Amino acid sequence: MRTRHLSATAIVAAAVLALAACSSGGGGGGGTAGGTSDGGSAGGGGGPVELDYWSEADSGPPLATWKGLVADFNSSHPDINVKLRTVSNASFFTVMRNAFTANDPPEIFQHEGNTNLFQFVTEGGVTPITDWFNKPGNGDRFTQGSPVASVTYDGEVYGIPLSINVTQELYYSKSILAGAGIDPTTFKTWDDFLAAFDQLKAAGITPIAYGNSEGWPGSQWFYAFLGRTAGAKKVNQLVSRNCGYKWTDPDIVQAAQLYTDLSDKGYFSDGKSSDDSNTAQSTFLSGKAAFFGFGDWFIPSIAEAPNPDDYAMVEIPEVPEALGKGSAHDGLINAGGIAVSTAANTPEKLQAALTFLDWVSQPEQQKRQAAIGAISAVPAANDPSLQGPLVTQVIADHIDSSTGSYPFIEHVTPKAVGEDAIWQGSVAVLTGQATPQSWMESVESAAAAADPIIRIPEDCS
Amino acid sequence: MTAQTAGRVASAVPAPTSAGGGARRRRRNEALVAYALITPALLAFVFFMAIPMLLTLVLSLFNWTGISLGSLDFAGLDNYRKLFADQQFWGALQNNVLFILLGMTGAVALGMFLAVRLERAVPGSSFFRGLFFMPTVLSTVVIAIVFTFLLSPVFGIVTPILKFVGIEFKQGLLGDPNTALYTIIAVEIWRAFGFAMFLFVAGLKGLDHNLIEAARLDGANDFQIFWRITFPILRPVTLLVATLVGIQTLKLFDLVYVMTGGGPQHASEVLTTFSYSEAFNYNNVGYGSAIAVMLLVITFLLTILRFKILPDSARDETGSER
Repeated sequence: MRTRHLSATAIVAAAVLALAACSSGGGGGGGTAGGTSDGGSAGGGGGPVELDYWSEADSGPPLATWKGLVADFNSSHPDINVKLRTVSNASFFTVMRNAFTANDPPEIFQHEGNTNLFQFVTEGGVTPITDWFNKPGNGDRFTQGSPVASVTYDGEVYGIPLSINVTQELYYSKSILAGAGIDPTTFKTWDDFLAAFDQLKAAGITPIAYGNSEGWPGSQWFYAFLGRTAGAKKVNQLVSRNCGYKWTDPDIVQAAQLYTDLSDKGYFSDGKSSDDSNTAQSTFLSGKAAFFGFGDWFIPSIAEAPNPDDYAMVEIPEVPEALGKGSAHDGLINAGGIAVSTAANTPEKLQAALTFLDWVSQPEQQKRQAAIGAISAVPAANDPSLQGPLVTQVIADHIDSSTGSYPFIEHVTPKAVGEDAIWQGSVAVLTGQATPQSWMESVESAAAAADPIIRIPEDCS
Repeated sequence: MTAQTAGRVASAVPAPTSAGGGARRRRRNEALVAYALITPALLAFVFFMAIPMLLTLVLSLFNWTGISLGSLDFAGLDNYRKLFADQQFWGALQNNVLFILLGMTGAVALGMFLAVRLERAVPGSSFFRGLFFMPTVLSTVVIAIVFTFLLSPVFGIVTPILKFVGIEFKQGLLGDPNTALYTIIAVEIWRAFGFAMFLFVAGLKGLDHNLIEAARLDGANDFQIFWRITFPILRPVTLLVATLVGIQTLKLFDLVYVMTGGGPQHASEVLTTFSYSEAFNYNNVGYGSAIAVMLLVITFLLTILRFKILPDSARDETGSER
């Protein structure tokens, strides 16, 4: 009896010790909502309303900018205390999903628009802010079109856009092109560029730095051509599966063909299917290629290059004999921003969150984003003296003179369509495993098998 | 029986009270201490392996985005039906089999070869043993990043060297669907052979050099000595190494994920990257869990098969277990 009692005691004691050791991490592990914050108290009892704000800006100038913004907001709003938590981009949305799963998300969080935001909207995790957005002076301070559409789902607004990314710019090395006697600023059509690529290739110079092991750089080229062959309006209708449009329509396949031609004619660098986008950037910045197609977010990398003045940017022009109603002035635009989760579940918290959204999206605050080279979704904040000539050129070409805009397609389509069929297909045509036609057939097949994520009103004109 | 005889008989029988009871108590206490000491490890196994495994099995029966518990949708065996009809699953499984067959065999063979060569007292053998063991202690992610760079057609050295000897891979070894998987397998062999060599070196400590000398005097060549003397001694270690390396290649994730992400076009995809992609990229946590469960089942079946085909015990010429 005594022995049995001893044995039970020993086992329980060991178990308690083990549990104590195992539970020392608590709920604050890296992937959970607790994190390093207090979780946002209700602010009752007269203290400030506590809000958690999670952001991807975890390094460099964006981190410093957001730290400054949050600190200034807190000091100018003593009744509200926003606590910033930053998580690296690579793991941010895994951390966010874990937080939502644990029913403990931050009250305010950064999003990248469209499906990136809507994945939480459809799970009931995001608070609509339509009433606030529709007040005069609120929603209309933002760039209309794609940026506002990126936060609008089923007629409700679920966040605000703060930054805009635009693609596909064609960066080039002035010294390499000057040495080859090429001036891209004189080019009028895409055929002019193709002739230049031929000339560079004949001179032993790699025309275009490219690395598409991840699939998405190829999709950016394809989307850019889509705007020029089919046009923004058709692309938006296509992703909503309206008007009977299909991915195998001739003007859509033409865009796929234009991209594939760049590979088939040997214009891409050798690592086109094995290198990633970072390696492709290095290929360009180390002088191993004349051109580089990328988004506006490459501009800060140029500023940090040893010889930033050697680089300039030119737009992909009209493509000859476009089979659709495309335009080089249709902007391929993606917008990110911030949103309010349902963790802001008291009137005080919700009001505090809206106050933060309102304050941070004022032009005066957004100028700080512009100062680090970002394109603000608040047009009044964009300033050539702050953003430099390249960013100003992007804004002028893609936003101010835009005849229409469409988002990154993987952000408005099911993953089987965007991230799988389109991305993987953009690699397959490089390795000869697919043709432009078969690539678009696989995209159409995936799109037909899935429900659209975005449904805009049908307009087939 | 006289009183003396009875007393001697009685004294010959151990007294059942103090001495016997004390030994039993001691054995019981020792057992309790043992249980108490293994309890933390057992609890860790339960909380960090058994429960997650059970949860994965349960999740595989649901469709779930992984975001809100409210969106859990019971699907029964639908995920498994979908899996068996999914060409991507069979492709990933085929790649796993290739990894085991080529990767495990390569690492074990190379490790054994180097262990046997370095077992001799050649100059620098200790240095080389240390050098060959280094990949084992390096982070797999670091290895993957370094090799990806080395294999880059633009910046790496492998492509120019191959071109110099007349072998051209314009897209790079990792960018060609026909070579990507085998390239990663080669890197895995490089990473794992040092570990295999390390265990074989330990196994060779039991080698009787007198036996080898006697065999040489009898005219046996190197191969005969290896096949008749060395390899039988290494048999138990070989089985251990093969099992460990095989399991390692079966659950390989980071090398593939960093080097190719499973591409190009799923050419180098394995079950772990497939599971991860479905669960965390495509928000199909239930389907990703089903893939993970299948991986567990396959690992289990292969382990059983291994013990059936290659049992640990060997039998000598008389048929008795060694």
